[in-house]
Amino acid sequence: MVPALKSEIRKLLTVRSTYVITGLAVLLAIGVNFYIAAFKTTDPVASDALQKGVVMGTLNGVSIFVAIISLLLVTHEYRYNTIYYSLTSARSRTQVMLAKVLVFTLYAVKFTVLISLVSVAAMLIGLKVGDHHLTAQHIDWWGMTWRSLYYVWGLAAFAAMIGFLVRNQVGAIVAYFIGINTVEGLLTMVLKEKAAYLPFTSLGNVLTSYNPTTATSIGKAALISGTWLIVGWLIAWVLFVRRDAN
Amino acid sequence: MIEAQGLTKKYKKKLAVDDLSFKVETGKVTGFLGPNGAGKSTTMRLMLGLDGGAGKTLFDGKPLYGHVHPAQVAGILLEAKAFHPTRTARNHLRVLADAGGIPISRVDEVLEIVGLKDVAGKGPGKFSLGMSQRLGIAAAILGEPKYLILDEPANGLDPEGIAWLRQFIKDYADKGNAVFVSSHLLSEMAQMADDVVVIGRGKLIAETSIKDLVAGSAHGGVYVRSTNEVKLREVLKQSQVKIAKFAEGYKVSGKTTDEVGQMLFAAKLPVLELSRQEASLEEAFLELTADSEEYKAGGKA
Repeated sequence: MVPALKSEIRKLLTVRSTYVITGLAVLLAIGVNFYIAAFKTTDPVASDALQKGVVMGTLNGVSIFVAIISLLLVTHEYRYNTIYYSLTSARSRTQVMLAKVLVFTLYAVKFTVLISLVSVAAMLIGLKVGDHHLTAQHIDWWGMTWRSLYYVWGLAAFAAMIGFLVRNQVGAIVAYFIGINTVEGLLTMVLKEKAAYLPFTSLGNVLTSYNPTTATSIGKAALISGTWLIVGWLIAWVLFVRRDAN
Repeated sequence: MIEAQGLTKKYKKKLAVDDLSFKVETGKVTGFLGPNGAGKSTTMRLMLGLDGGAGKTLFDGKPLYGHVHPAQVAGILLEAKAFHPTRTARNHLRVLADAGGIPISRVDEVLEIVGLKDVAGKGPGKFSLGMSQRLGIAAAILGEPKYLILDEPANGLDPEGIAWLRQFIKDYADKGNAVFVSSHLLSEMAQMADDVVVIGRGKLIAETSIKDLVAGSAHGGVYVRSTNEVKLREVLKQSQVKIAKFAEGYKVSGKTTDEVGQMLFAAKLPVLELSRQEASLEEAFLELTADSEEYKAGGKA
Protein backbone atom coordinates (compact mmCIF):
# COMPACT_ATOMS: atom_id res chain seq x y z
CA MET A 1 0.00 0.00 0.00
CA VAL A 2 2.80 2.43 0.91
CA PRO A 3 4.57 2.08 -2.50
CA ALA A 4 1.28 2.74 -4.32
CA LEU A 5 0.62 5.78 -2.14
CA LYS A 6 4.12 7.19 -2.73
CA SER A 7 3.70 6.68 -6.44
CA GLU A 8 0.31 8.42 -6.52
CA ILE A 9 1.70 11.39 -4.58
CA ARG A 10 4.55 11.68 -7.05
CA LYS A 11 2.10 11.44 -9.96
CA LEU A 12 0.14 14.37 -8.56
CA LEU A 13 3.23 16.47 -7.94
CA THR A 14 5.02 15.84 -11.24
CA VAL A 15 2.43 17.07 -13.71
CA ARG A 16 2.08 20.68 -14.76
CA SER A 17 -1.71 20.69 -14.54
CA THR A 18 -1.60 20.34 -10.73
CA TYR A 19 0.33 23.59 -10.40
CA VAL A 20 -1.51 25.48 -13.14
CA ILE A 21 -4.95 24.62 -11.78
CA THR A 22 -4.01 25.21 -8.13
CA GLY A 23 -2.34 28.50 -9.08
CA LEU A 24 -5.44 29.60 -10.93
CA ALA A 25 -7.62 28.81 -7.90
CA VAL A 26 -5.29 30.72 -5.58
CA LEU A 27 -5.19 33.75 -7.90
CA LEU A 28 -8.96 33.78 -8.17
CA ALA A 29 -9.38 33.51 -4.40
CA ILE A 30 -6.91 36.33 -3.80
CA GLY A 31 -8.25 38.58 -6.54
CA VAL A 32 -11.93 38.24 -5.73
CA ASN A 33 -11.51 38.59 -1.96
CA PHE A 34 -9.16 41.55 -2.27
CA TYR A 35 -11.45 43.31 -4.74
CA ILE A 36 -14.58 42.79 -2.66
CA ALA A 37 -12.86 43.83 0.58
CA ALA A 38 -11.18 46.90 -0.91
CA PHE A 39 -13.87 48.22 -3.23
CA LYS A 40 -17.23 46.62 -2.49
CA THR A 41 -17.31 46.59 1.29
CA THR A 42 -19.66 48.83 3.20
CA ASP A 43 -19.03 49.48 6.87
CA PRO A 44 -19.71 47.96 9.21
CA VAL A 45 -18.44 44.61 7.95
CA ALA A 46 -20.96 41.85 8.71
CA SER A 47 -20.10 39.64 11.67
CA ASP A 48 -20.21 36.47 9.51
CA ALA A 49 -18.28 37.97 6.59
CA LEU A 50 -15.09 36.05 7.33
CA GLN A 51 -16.64 32.62 7.82
CA LYS A 52 -19.52 32.68 5.39
CA GLY A 53 -18.36 35.13 2.77
CA VAL A 54 -14.61 34.71 2.65
CA VAL A 55 -13.80 31.11 3.62
CA MET A 56 -16.93 29.17 2.71
CA GLY A 57 -17.98 31.44 -0.13
CA THR A 58 -14.58 31.24 -1.78
CA LEU A 59 -14.38 27.48 -1.35
CA ASN A 60 -17.80 27.19 -2.91
CA GLY A 61 -16.51 29.05 -5.93
CA VAL A 62 -13.09 27.56 -6.51
CA SER A 63 -13.43 23.96 -5.34
CA ILE A 64 -14.28 22.92 -8.88
CA PHE A 65 -10.50 23.13 -9.45
CA VAL A 66 -9.90 20.41 -6.85
CA ALA A 67 -12.50 18.31 -8.62
CA ILE A 68 -10.66 18.72 -11.93
CA ILE A 69 -7.33 17.73 -10.40
CA SER A 70 -8.91 14.73 -8.73
CA LEU A 71 -10.53 13.69 -11.99
CA LEU A 72 -7.24 14.09 -13.88
CA LEU A 73 -5.44 11.97 -11.30
CA VAL A 74 -7.63 9.09 -12.41
CA THR A 75 -8.25 9.75 -16.10
CA HIS A 76 -4.63 10.57 -16.99
CA GLU A 77 -3.92 6.90 -16.32
CA TYR A 78 -6.40 5.85 -18.99
CA ARG A 79 -5.59 8.59 -21.45
CA TYR A 80 -1.88 7.80 -21.41
CA ASN A 81 -2.25 4.06 -20.70
CA THR A 82 -0.09 4.22 -17.59
CA ILE A 83 -2.84 2.27 -15.82
CA TYR A 84 -1.17 -0.98 -16.80
CA TYR A 85 1.96 0.00 -14.88
CA SER A 86 -0.11 0.93 -11.83
CA LEU A 87 -2.05 -2.31 -11.89
CA THR A 88 0.91 -4.62 -12.43
CA SER A 89 3.00 -2.94 -9.74
CA ALA A 90 0.47 -3.38 -6.95
CA ARG A 91 -0.68 -6.57 -5.29
CA SER A 92 -4.32 -5.69 -5.78
CA ARG A 93 -6.40 -3.21 -7.71
CA THR A 94 -8.09 -2.15 -4.49
CA GLN A 95 -4.71 -0.86 -3.28
CA VAL A 96 -4.38 1.28 -6.40
CA MET A 97 -7.84 2.74 -5.91
CA LEU A 98 -7.31 3.34 -2.19
CA ALA A 99 -4.01 5.09 -2.88
CA LYS A 100 -5.77 7.46 -5.26
CA VAL A 101 -8.53 8.13 -2.72
CA LEU A 102 -5.93 8.95 -0.06
CA VAL A 103 -4.04 11.25 -2.40
CA PHE A 104 -7.03 13.30 -3.52
CA THR A 105 -8.13 13.45 0.14
CA LEU A 106 -4.72 14.84 1.17
CA TYR A 107 -4.82 17.27 -1.71
CA ALA A 108 -8.37 18.40 -0.84
CA VAL A 109 -7.32 19.10 2.76
CA LYS A 110 -4.25 21.09 1.68
CA PHE A 111 -6.29 22.97 -0.89
CA THR A 112 -8.95 23.88 1.68
CA VAL A 113 -6.35 25.19 4.12
CA LEU A 114 -4.43 27.07 1.42
CA ILE A 115 -7.50 28.73 -0.12
CA SER A 116 -8.88 29.64 3.31
CA LEU A 117 -5.62 31.25 4.39
CA VAL A 118 -4.99 33.22 1.20
CA SER A 119 -8.62 34.34 1.07
CA VAL A 120 -8.54 35.68 4.63
CA ALA A 121 -5.18 37.36 3.99
CA ALA A 122 -6.48 38.94 0.75
CA MET A 123 -9.59 40.15 2.57
CA LEU A 124 -7.57 41.72 5.40
CA ILE A 125 -5.25 43.47 2.94
CA GLY A 126 -8.25 44.61 0.89
CA LEU A 127 -9.95 46.04 3.95
CA LYS A 128 -6.77 47.93 4.79
CA VAL A 129 -6.47 49.29 1.26
CA GLY A 130 -10.15 50.30 1.25
CA ASP A 131 -9.76 51.82 4.70
CA HIS A 132 -12.34 49.56 6.26
CA HIS A 133 -12.19 48.00 9.69
CA LEU A 134 -12.95 44.41 10.45
CA THR A 135 -15.63 44.25 13.09
CA ALA A 136 -15.73 41.44 15.66
CA GLN A 137 -16.38 38.21 13.78
CA HIS A 138 -18.50 35.32 14.86
CA ILE A 139 -16.75 32.14 13.79
CA ASP A 140 -18.06 28.62 14.35
CA TRP A 141 -14.63 27.04 14.07
CA TRP A 142 -15.75 23.41 14.20
CA GLY A 143 -18.69 23.91 11.81
CA MET A 144 -16.64 25.92 9.36
CA THR A 145 -13.82 23.38 9.37
CA TRP A 146 -15.76 20.17 8.86
CA ARG A 147 -18.24 21.64 6.41
CA SER A 148 -15.47 23.18 4.29
CA LEU A 149 -13.37 20.03 4.31
CA TYR A 150 -16.35 17.78 3.62
CA TYR A 151 -17.53 19.91 0.71
CA VAL A 152 -14.15 20.19 -0.99
CA TRP A 153 -13.41 16.50 -0.43
CA GLY A 154 -16.89 15.57 -1.62
CA LEU A 155 -16.44 17.38 -4.92
CA ALA A 156 -13.06 15.70 -5.39
CA ALA A 157 -14.58 12.32 -4.53
CA PHE A 158 -17.46 12.74 -6.99
CA ALA A 159 -15.01 13.75 -9.71
CA ALA A 160 -12.63 10.83 -9.11
CA MET A 161 -15.57 8.45 -8.94
CA ILE A 162 -16.81 9.65 -12.34
CA GLY A 163 -13.24 9.27 -13.62
CA PHE A 164 -13.15 5.63 -12.50
CA LEU A 165 -16.58 4.94 -13.97
CA VAL A 166 -16.11 6.66 -17.33
CA ARG A 167 -12.31 6.07 -17.72
CA ASN A 168 -12.15 8.48 -20.62
CA GLN A 169 -10.76 11.92 -19.79
CA VAL A 170 -12.96 14.02 -22.04
CA GLY A 171 -15.99 11.86 -21.33
CA ALA A 172 -15.47 12.13 -17.57
CA ILE A 173 -15.06 15.92 -17.66
CA VAL A 174 -18.18 16.26 -19.79
CA ALA A 175 -20.11 13.86 -17.54
CA TYR A 176 -19.00 15.76 -14.45
CA PHE A 177 -20.03 19.18 -15.69
CA ILE A 178 -23.22 17.96 -17.32
CA GLY A 179 -24.00 16.13 -14.08
CA ILE A 180 -23.67 19.27 -12.01
CA ASN A 181 -25.08 21.90 -14.30
CA THR A 182 -27.44 20.39 -16.80
CA VAL A 183 -28.86 17.26 -15.21
CA GLU A 184 -29.14 18.56 -11.65
CA GLY A 185 -30.31 21.94 -12.89
CA LEU A 186 -33.15 20.38 -14.87
CA LEU A 187 -34.01 17.92 -12.14
CA THR A 188 -34.16 20.75 -9.59
CA MET A 189 -36.82 22.42 -11.70
CA VAL A 190 -38.84 19.22 -11.75
CA LEU A 191 -38.25 17.95 -8.23
CA LYS A 192 -38.43 21.33 -6.44
CA GLU A 193 -37.77 20.76 -2.68
CA LYS A 194 -37.05 17.06 -3.33
CA ALA A 195 -33.96 18.22 -5.26
CA ALA A 196 -32.29 18.32 -1.86
CA TYR A 197 -31.82 14.59 -2.36
CA LEU A 198 -29.70 15.03 -5.48
CA PRO A 199 -25.94 14.38 -5.09
CA PHE A 200 -24.41 17.75 -5.90
CA THR A 201 -27.29 19.79 -4.47
CA SER A 202 -27.04 17.93 -1.17
CA LEU A 203 -23.27 18.37 -1.14
CA GLY A 204 -23.69 22.09 -1.78
CA ASN A 205 -26.15 22.29 1.09
CA VAL A 206 -23.45 21.10 3.47
CA LEU A 207 -21.37 24.19 2.78
CA THR A 208 -23.92 26.84 2.13
CA SER A 209 -27.54 26.95 1.08
CA TYR A 210 -28.25 29.74 -1.32
CA ASN A 211 -31.39 28.17 -2.66
CA PRO A 212 -34.06 28.16 0.04
CA THR A 213 -36.21 25.69 -1.92
CA THR A 214 -33.70 22.89 -1.68
CA ALA A 215 -32.16 23.75 1.68
CA THR A 216 -32.06 21.04 4.34
CA SER A 217 -30.32 20.74 7.67
CA ILE A 218 -26.57 20.50 7.32
CA GLY A 219 -26.45 17.06 8.95
CA LYS A 220 -29.12 15.70 6.64
CA ALA A 221 -27.39 17.17 3.60
CA ALA A 222 -24.14 15.48 4.65
CA LEU A 223 -25.97 12.19 5.09
CA ILE A 224 -27.61 12.39 1.66
CA SER A 225 -24.43 13.34 -0.20
CA GLY A 226 -22.46 10.77 1.83
CA THR A 227 -24.91 8.06 0.80
CA TRP A 228 -24.52 9.01 -2.87
CA LEU A 229 -20.75 8.86 -2.50
CA ILE A 230 -20.72 5.50 -0.74
CA VAL A 231 -23.03 3.88 -3.27
CA GLY A 232 -21.20 5.46 -6.21
CA TRP A 233 -17.80 4.41 -4.93
CA LEU A 234 -18.97 0.85 -4.27
CA ILE A 235 -20.06 0.59 -7.90
CA ALA A 236 -16.81 2.20 -9.08
CA TRP A 237 -14.76 -0.21 -6.93
CA VAL A 238 -16.56 -3.34 -8.17
CA LEU A 239 -16.13 -2.24 -11.79
CA PHE A 240 -12.49 -1.24 -11.27
CA VAL A 241 -11.67 -4.64 -9.83
CA ARG A 242 -13.62 -6.66 -12.39
CA ARG A 243 -13.24 -4.82 -15.68
CA ASP A 244 -10.36 -5.16 -18.12
CA ALA A 245 -7.57 -2.71 -17.27
CA ASN A 246 -8.48 -0.22 -19.99
CA MET B 1 9.63 -20.30 -15.02
CA ILE B 2 6.45 -18.71 -16.32
CA GLU B 3 3.61 -21.17 -16.76
CA ALA B 4 0.53 -20.04 -18.65
CA GLN B 5 -2.31 -22.46 -18.07
CA GLY B 6 -5.56 -22.54 -20.01
CA LEU B 7 -5.64 -18.85 -20.86
CA THR B 8 -8.96 -18.01 -22.45
CA LYS B 9 -10.49 -14.68 -23.37
CA LYS B 10 -13.80 -14.10 -25.06
CA TYR B 11 -15.02 -10.78 -26.48
CA LYS B 12 -18.78 -11.13 -26.82
CA LYS B 13 -19.01 -14.07 -29.24
CA LYS B 14 -15.43 -14.03 -30.45
CA LEU B 15 -12.87 -16.24 -28.78
CA ALA B 16 -9.68 -14.14 -28.81
CA VAL B 17 -7.55 -16.56 -26.81
CA ASP B 18 -8.54 -20.20 -26.70
CA ASP B 19 -7.30 -22.41 -23.87
CA LEU B 20 -3.69 -21.40 -24.35
CA SER B 21 -1.00 -23.09 -22.28
CA PHE B 22 2.76 -22.77 -22.60
CA LYS B 23 5.94 -22.30 -20.60
CA VAL B 24 8.66 -19.68 -20.67
CA GLU B 25 11.92 -20.93 -19.26
CA THR B 26 14.59 -18.97 -17.47
CA GLY B 27 17.93 -18.44 -19.18
CA LYS B 28 16.21 -18.26 -22.53
CA VAL B 29 14.59 -15.81 -24.89
CA THR B 30 11.18 -17.07 -25.91
CA GLY B 31 9.67 -15.49 -28.98
CA PHE B 32 5.92 -15.08 -29.21
CA LEU B 33 4.75 -15.27 -32.80
CA GLY B 34 1.45 -15.10 -34.54
CA PRO B 35 -0.24 -13.32 -37.42
CA ASN B 36 -2.03 -10.00 -36.86
CA GLY B 37 -5.06 -10.48 -34.65
CA ALA B 38 -3.83 -13.86 -33.40
CA GLY B 39 -4.25 -12.74 -29.79
CA LYS B 40 -0.62 -12.06 -28.79
CA SER B 41 -1.24 -8.78 -26.96
CA THR B 42 -4.40 -10.14 -25.35
CA THR B 43 -2.45 -13.17 -24.15
CA MET B 44 0.20 -10.94 -22.58
CA ARG B 45 -2.48 -8.89 -20.84
CA LEU B 46 -4.11 -12.07 -19.55
CA MET B 47 -0.76 -13.29 -18.25
CA LEU B 48 -0.34 -10.07 -16.29
CA GLY B 49 -3.88 -10.03 -14.95
CA LEU B 50 -4.75 -6.85 -16.83
CA ASP B 51 -7.72 -8.44 -18.56
CA GLY B 52 -10.28 -10.75 -17.07
CA GLY B 53 -10.60 -14.23 -18.50
CA ALA B 54 -10.17 -17.89 -17.69
CA GLY B 55 -6.90 -19.59 -16.88
CA LYS B 56 -3.92 -18.51 -14.86
CA THR B 57 -0.27 -17.60 -15.24
CA LEU B 58 2.24 -18.53 -12.60
CA PHE B 59 5.56 -16.78 -12.11
CA ASP B 60 7.73 -19.15 -10.06
CA GLY B 61 4.60 -20.97 -9.00
CA LYS B 62 2.61 -17.89 -7.98
CA PRO B 63 0.43 -15.44 -9.87
CA LEU B 64 2.07 -12.07 -10.34
CA TYR B 65 -0.18 -10.51 -7.69
CA GLY B 66 1.01 -13.14 -5.24
CA HIS B 67 4.50 -11.65 -5.10
CA VAL B 68 5.32 -8.92 -2.58
CA HIS B 69 6.65 -6.57 -5.26
CA PRO B 70 5.23 -7.68 -8.64
CA ALA B 71 7.30 -5.07 -10.50
CA GLN B 72 10.46 -6.75 -9.23
CA VAL B 73 9.29 -10.10 -10.61
CA ALA B 74 8.02 -9.15 -14.08
CA GLY B 75 9.05 -6.12 -16.08
CA ILE B 76 6.64 -5.24 -18.83
CA LEU B 77 6.48 -3.25 -22.01
CA LEU B 78 3.10 -3.43 -23.67
CA GLU B 79 2.98 -0.06 -25.33
CA ALA B 80 5.76 2.35 -26.25
CA LYS B 81 3.88 5.57 -25.56
CA ALA B 82 2.51 4.71 -22.12
CA PHE B 83 3.58 7.85 -20.26
CA HIS B 84 2.29 11.29 -19.38
CA PRO B 85 3.70 13.55 -22.13
CA THR B 86 4.80 16.42 -19.87
CA ARG B 87 6.05 14.43 -16.88
CA THR B 88 9.78 14.15 -17.44
CA ALA B 89 11.28 10.81 -18.38
CA ARG B 90 13.11 10.73 -15.03
CA ASN B 91 9.94 11.49 -13.08
CA HIS B 92 8.00 8.92 -15.10
CA LEU B 93 10.49 6.28 -13.98
CA ARG B 94 10.51 7.61 -10.42
CA VAL B 95 6.73 7.18 -10.29
CA LEU B 96 7.18 3.57 -11.40
CA ALA B 97 10.06 3.02 -8.99
CA ASP B 98 7.90 4.22 -6.10
CA ALA B 99 5.06 1.95 -7.15
CA GLY B 100 7.37 -1.05 -7.43
CA GLY B 101 9.21 -0.51 -4.15
CA ILE B 102 12.41 0.11 -6.12
CA PRO B 103 15.13 2.52 -4.91
CA ILE B 104 15.02 5.87 -6.74
CA SER B 105 18.78 5.60 -7.43
CA ARG B 106 17.97 2.84 -9.93
CA VAL B 107 16.24 5.36 -12.20
CA ASP B 108 19.45 7.02 -13.38
CA GLU B 109 21.07 3.62 -13.84
CA VAL B 110 18.40 2.44 -16.28
CA LEU B 111 18.36 5.77 -18.09
CA GLU B 112 22.08 5.26 -18.67
CA ILE B 113 21.55 1.68 -19.84
CA VAL B 114 18.96 2.64 -22.48
CA GLY B 115 20.86 5.75 -23.55
CA LEU B 116 18.32 8.36 -22.47
CA LYS B 117 20.30 10.08 -19.74
CA ASP B 118 20.72 13.26 -21.78
CA VAL B 119 16.97 13.70 -22.22
CA ALA B 120 15.96 12.50 -18.77
CA GLY B 121 14.75 15.97 -17.80
CA LYS B 122 12.50 16.34 -20.82
CA GLY B 123 8.86 15.42 -21.23
CA PRO B 124 8.63 12.32 -23.40
CA GLY B 125 5.67 13.70 -25.33
CA LYS B 126 8.00 14.75 -28.12
CA PHE B 127 10.16 11.63 -28.07
CA SER B 128 10.40 9.64 -31.29
CA LEU B 129 8.89 6.16 -31.30
CA GLY B 130 12.38 4.70 -30.89
CA MET B 131 13.12 6.88 -27.84
CA SER B 132 9.74 5.99 -26.40
CA GLN B 133 10.55 2.31 -26.81
CA ARG B 134 13.81 2.86 -24.96
CA LEU B 135 11.93 4.57 -22.14
CA GLY B 136 9.52 1.62 -22.07
CA ILE B 137 12.44 -0.78 -21.85
CA ALA B 138 13.93 1.31 -19.04
CA ALA B 139 10.62 0.99 -17.20
CA ALA B 140 10.58 -2.77 -17.77
CA ILE B 141 14.05 -3.36 -16.34
CA LEU B 142 13.69 -0.86 -13.49
CA GLY B 143 13.07 -3.51 -10.84
CA GLU B 144 15.74 -5.87 -12.24
CA PRO B 145 12.98 -8.44 -12.73
CA LYS B 146 13.57 -12.09 -13.38
CA TYR B 147 10.99 -11.99 -16.16
CA LEU B 148 10.63 -9.55 -19.01
CA ILE B 149 7.44 -9.46 -21.04
CA LEU B 150 7.87 -7.27 -24.10
CA ASP B 151 5.28 -6.64 -26.78
CA GLU B 152 6.88 -5.55 -30.05
CA PRO B 153 9.84 -3.80 -28.38
CA ALA B 154 11.67 -3.26 -31.68
CA ASN B 155 8.90 -1.16 -33.24
CA GLY B 156 10.28 2.22 -34.23
CA LEU B 157 13.89 1.44 -33.36
CA ASP B 158 16.55 2.30 -35.92
CA PRO B 159 19.01 -0.44 -37.07
CA GLU B 160 21.48 0.52 -34.34
CA GLY B 161 18.67 0.42 -31.80
CA ILE B 162 17.50 -2.98 -33.00
CA ALA B 163 21.02 -4.36 -32.77
CA TRP B 164 21.33 -2.92 -29.26
CA LEU B 165 17.97 -4.39 -28.23
CA ARG B 166 18.84 -7.81 -29.63
CA GLN B 167 22.09 -7.94 -27.68
CA PHE B 168 20.47 -6.51 -24.58
CA ILE B 169 17.70 -9.14 -24.59
CA LYS B 170 20.16 -11.98 -25.16
CA ASP B 171 22.43 -10.74 -22.37
CA TYR B 172 19.47 -10.33 -20.04
CA ALA B 173 18.42 -13.94 -20.60
CA ASP B 174 21.99 -15.17 -20.27
CA LYS B 175 22.01 -13.84 -16.71
CA GLY B 176 19.45 -16.51 -15.82
CA ASN B 177 16.38 -14.42 -16.54
CA ALA B 178 13.53 -15.19 -18.93
CA VAL B 179 12.49 -12.90 -21.74
CA PHE B 180 9.14 -13.38 -23.43
CA VAL B 181 9.02 -11.18 -26.48
CA SER B 182 6.63 -10.73 -29.35
CA SER B 183 7.80 -9.28 -32.62
CA HIS B 184 6.86 -9.10 -36.26
CA LEU B 185 10.51 -8.91 -37.22
CA LEU B 186 11.08 -12.59 -37.84
CA SER B 187 14.68 -12.17 -38.90
CA GLU B 188 15.33 -10.48 -35.55
CA MET B 189 13.49 -13.19 -33.70
CA ALA B 190 15.54 -15.83 -35.47
CA GLN B 191 18.68 -14.14 -34.22
CA MET B 192 17.69 -13.64 -30.61
CA ALA B 193 15.12 -16.23 -29.56
CA ASP B 194 15.93 -19.72 -28.30
CA ASP B 195 12.35 -20.95 -28.14
CA VAL B 196 9.13 -19.88 -29.79
CA VAL B 197 5.47 -20.01 -28.95
CA VAL B 198 3.40 -19.69 -32.14
CA ILE B 199 -0.31 -18.95 -31.98
CA GLY B 200 -3.00 -18.43 -34.58
CA ARG B 201 -6.60 -17.37 -33.96
CA GLY B 202 -5.92 -17.55 -30.24
CA LYS B 203 -4.82 -21.19 -30.32
CA LEU B 204 -1.42 -22.71 -29.74
CA ILE B 205 0.14 -23.84 -33.01
CA ALA B 206 3.65 -24.65 -31.85
CA GLU B 207 5.78 -24.48 -28.73
CA THR B 208 9.27 -25.49 -29.61
CA SER B 209 12.84 -24.33 -30.11
CA ILE B 210 13.67 -22.16 -33.11
CA LYS B 211 16.02 -24.90 -34.26
CA ASP B 212 13.32 -27.58 -34.28
CA LEU B 213 10.77 -25.25 -35.84
CA VAL B 214 13.03 -24.48 -38.75
CA ALA B 215 14.23 -28.07 -39.13
CA GLY B 216 10.66 -29.33 -39.27
CA SER B 217 9.67 -26.99 -42.05
CA ALA B 218 8.83 -28.38 -45.47
CA HIS B 219 10.82 -25.48 -46.86
CA GLY B 220 13.98 -27.11 -45.60
CA GLY B 221 15.64 -30.00 -47.43
CA VAL B 222 18.69 -31.20 -49.27
CA TYR B 223 19.94 -29.29 -52.26
CA VAL B 224 21.56 -31.36 -54.92
CA ARG B 225 23.19 -30.44 -58.22
CA SER B 226 24.62 -32.81 -60.80
CA THR B 227 26.29 -32.67 -64.21
CA ASN B 228 23.23 -34.36 -65.68
CA GLU B 229 20.10 -32.59 -64.57
CA VAL B 230 17.72 -34.81 -66.55
CA LYS B 231 19.12 -38.00 -65.08
CA LEU B 232 19.20 -36.46 -61.63
CA ARG B 233 15.47 -35.72 -61.90
CA GLU B 234 14.76 -39.29 -63.04
CA VAL B 235 16.74 -40.84 -60.18
CA LEU B 236 15.05 -38.66 -57.59
CA LYS B 237 11.60 -39.36 -59.03
CA GLN B 238 12.22 -43.10 -59.05
CA SER B 239 13.14 -42.90 -55.36
CA GLN B 240 9.69 -41.40 -54.71
CA VAL B 241 11.02 -38.45 -52.71
CA LYS B 242 9.41 -35.03 -52.80
CA ILE B 243 11.45 -32.76 -55.04
CA ALA B 244 11.28 -29.18 -56.20
CA LYS B 245 13.34 -27.38 -58.85
CA PHE B 246 15.72 -25.06 -57.06
CA ALA B 247 18.41 -22.92 -58.73
CA GLU B 248 20.42 -25.26 -61.01
CA GLY B 249 19.42 -28.39 -59.15
CA TYR B 250 16.68 -29.80 -56.98
CA LYS B 251 15.58 -29.49 -53.36
CA VAL B 252 14.74 -32.88 -51.82
CA SER B 253 12.42 -32.98 -48.81
CA GLY B 254 12.31 -35.59 -46.07
CA LYS B 255 15.81 -37.01 -46.62
CA THR B 256 19.18 -36.37 -45.08
CA THR B 257 22.28 -35.43 -47.08
CA ASP B 258 23.67 -38.92 -46.35
CA GLU B 259 20.60 -40.61 -47.79
CA VAL B 260 20.54 -38.49 -50.95
CA GLY B 261 24.31 -38.88 -51.41
CA GLN B 262 24.07 -42.69 -51.20
CA MET B 263 21.11 -42.73 -53.58
CA LEU B 264 23.01 -40.77 -56.21
CA PHE B 265 26.18 -42.82 -55.70
CA ALA B 266 24.17 -45.98 -56.34
CA ALA B 267 22.87 -44.43 -59.57
CA LYS B 268 26.49 -43.56 -60.51
CA LEU B 269 25.56 -39.95 -60.99
CA PRO B 270 28.31 -37.33 -60.57
CA VAL B 271 27.36 -34.84 -57.83
CA LEU B 272 28.57 -31.25 -58.04
CA GLU B 273 26.82 -30.00 -54.93
CA LEU B 274 25.05 -31.60 -51.98
CA SER B 275 24.04 -29.48 -49.03
CA ARG B 276 21.49 -29.11 -46.28
CA GLN B 277 19.12 -26.15 -46.91
CA GLU B 278 17.60 -24.72 -43.74
CA ALA B 279 14.21 -23.06 -44.01
CA SER B 280 14.12 -19.50 -42.73
CA LEU B 281 12.07 -18.73 -39.65
CA GLU B 282 9.81 -16.71 -41.90
CA GLU B 283 9.17 -19.71 -44.17
CA ALA B 284 8.53 -21.95 -41.19
CA PHE B 285 6.25 -19.35 -39.60
CA LEU B 286 4.23 -18.75 -42.75
CA GLU B 287 3.87 -22.47 -43.28
CA LEU B 288 2.61 -22.96 -39.73
CA THR B 289 0.19 -20.05 -39.72
CA ALA B 290 -1.08 -20.37 -43.28
CA ASP B 291 -4.55 -21.34 -42.10
CA SER B 292 -4.59 -19.02 -39.11
CA GLU B 293 -4.24 -15.61 -40.66
CA GLU B 294 -7.22 -13.49 -39.79
CA TYR B 295 -6.30 -10.53 -41.96
CA LYS B 296 -4.85 -11.35 -45.37
CA ALA B 297 -4.01 -9.10 -48.26
CA GLY B 298 -6.39 -9.59 -51.17
CA GLY B 299 -3.85 -10.10 -53.94
CA LYS B 300 -1.21 -8.45 -56.04
CA ALA B 301 -0.96 -4.68 -56.17
